[in-house]
Amino acid sequence: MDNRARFLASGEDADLPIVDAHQHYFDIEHHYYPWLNDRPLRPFRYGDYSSICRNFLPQDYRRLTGRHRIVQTVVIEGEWDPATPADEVRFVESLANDEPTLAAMVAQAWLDREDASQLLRQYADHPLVRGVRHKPTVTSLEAWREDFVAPGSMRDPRWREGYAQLAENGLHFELQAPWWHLAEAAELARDFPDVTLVVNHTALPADRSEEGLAGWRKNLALLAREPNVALKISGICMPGKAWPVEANRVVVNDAISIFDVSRCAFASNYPVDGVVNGMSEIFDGFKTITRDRSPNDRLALFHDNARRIYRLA
Amino acid sequence: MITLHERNGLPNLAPEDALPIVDAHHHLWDLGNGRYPWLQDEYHEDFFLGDYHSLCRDFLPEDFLALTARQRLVGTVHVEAERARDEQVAETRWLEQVNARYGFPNAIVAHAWFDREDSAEILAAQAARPLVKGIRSKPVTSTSPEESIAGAKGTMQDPKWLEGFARLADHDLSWDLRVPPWHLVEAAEVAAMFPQIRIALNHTGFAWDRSPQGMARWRKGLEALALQPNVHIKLSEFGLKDSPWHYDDNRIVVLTALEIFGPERCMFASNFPVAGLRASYDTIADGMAAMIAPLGRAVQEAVFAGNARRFYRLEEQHG
Repeated sequence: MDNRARFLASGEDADLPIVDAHQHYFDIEHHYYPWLNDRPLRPFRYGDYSSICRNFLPQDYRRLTGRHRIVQTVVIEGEWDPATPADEVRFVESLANDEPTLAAMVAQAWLDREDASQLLRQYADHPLVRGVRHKPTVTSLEAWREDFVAPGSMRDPRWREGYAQLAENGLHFELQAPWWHLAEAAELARDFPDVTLVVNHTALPADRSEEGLAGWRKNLALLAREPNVALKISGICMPGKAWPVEANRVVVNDAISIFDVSRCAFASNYPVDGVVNGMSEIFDGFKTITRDRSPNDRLALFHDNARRIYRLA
Repeated sequence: MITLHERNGLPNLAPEDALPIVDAHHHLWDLGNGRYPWLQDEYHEDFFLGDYHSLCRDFLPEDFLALTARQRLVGTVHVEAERARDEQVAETRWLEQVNARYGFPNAIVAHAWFDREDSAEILAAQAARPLVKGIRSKPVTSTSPEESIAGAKGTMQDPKWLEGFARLADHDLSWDLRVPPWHLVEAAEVAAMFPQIRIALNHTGFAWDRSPQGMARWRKGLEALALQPNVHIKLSEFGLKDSPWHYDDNRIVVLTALEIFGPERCMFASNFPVAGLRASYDTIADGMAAMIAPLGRAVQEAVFAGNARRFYRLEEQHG
């Protein structure tokens, strides 16, 4: 019996098949990841992340899944040495040879760099690679304004020239940017309707004040109007706290009602979210929050949507 | 809106959808009708763009119109061209004649020293001319970032200079600020002391040093100035002494300035004919239009015309 059928038959949480739509693998002993290898560490939304400055490989992932039935994972670039982004693809491919759950990859790109065209063409020849991520230049909420632009931002014409080449190379785009930049993302989605834009980490609702969440909701709704956009629900740990089911219930349910069940996918963001919480704890939380949803909706959120977005076999 | 070319009976070669442009910074000179030492008998061996012999000839309204034939120019701001300092008001009077005949320049940024005996008198004489909206006056600056001359005569800390500077407010004139990038933080102190005096930073604050350290210092200067709401910035003159005009590098300068000041305080300017040492007018204007295209037409129009029109009060003539 396949994974979906088994869950539909039993309805048991333990049978719910999970495609982890966002995780990373690191081998910092053999490869260079500036943010993990260099000291001092950088400012980070979860604070001190020294606990993840170590290798994280498929055997490490497997040890953490507990009672969750994780059937496939999508590996997102891990801020590998920007001088050699294609080498990370080769590294992840080598892991995939021995790890059947490693189903797809999102590679590092530098859309405004001179070698962007060449790199994107290269990725087109690696079937594991489904899309690319390039964190655009963003600014703090305090410094942000409606007509924000900066070198390397989503409104940088050179950056957009790189973005314009994604479709022809069969690649989608993964956006990591805080919610106040989503109007720019909506412009991108409109201007490039052939490129799927997948928002990382729920658009980072770090500020859970009423005002902060209102801004997050408003911007999410602005982006959700574009049909070629999807949302990954992950990265919503709160530093120093157990995974906050009640606080996250609001975030998860709002995200789903804004983007619809058909366009959201849960993800662990492991090992990065491991700075704060256990992997089991995170998936337990998503399961608790979605307990009252229909089995088909839960399959969509935990499994089916990620398989569609990442074109998994 | 009638273009300068139409006004002068010249064919309009600009594309249908061309942005209307108010060029916020250019120069004109008639070497037979005025003395310009730097273009005549006092050639500057240390000019910031190196060899400028090709500039040492007349640059007349007809020349400006010929070089801009493919643009939709609707106004210009003339900035003093270092005419002999005993001809400061004469430069203004000549530009008024040019305006009467050619319909531009539409605003004049004239010259006056701040720290001379006749400063008050010259400033009042310039301010009395209806097209004069601002003053450019270069303070004494050091020759390198390593050397500090703060407080010396004629610098931005010299009390006499500051006293003269303060008179801009009496005449409601703006100041065109042109200093090397290592003086930008000091200039921000002046801006903070005189919040009522509007300031236009020239030439994007001169991002001459494109090394990471140089760009960081330039950025710091811009950030200090942008904290003062009375400061605007002219996006112009990306020319470098030893390199050709490069779209990608200059795009970083333009987008950084826009990031720091916000589009509503940025004004396109050509700095022609000087910038012509490195690039054509079309390369500069079309290049910058492309750099900011993703911000949308309204922002492009503000940067290319609206902001300069407002800053230099193009519609008003005082007197």
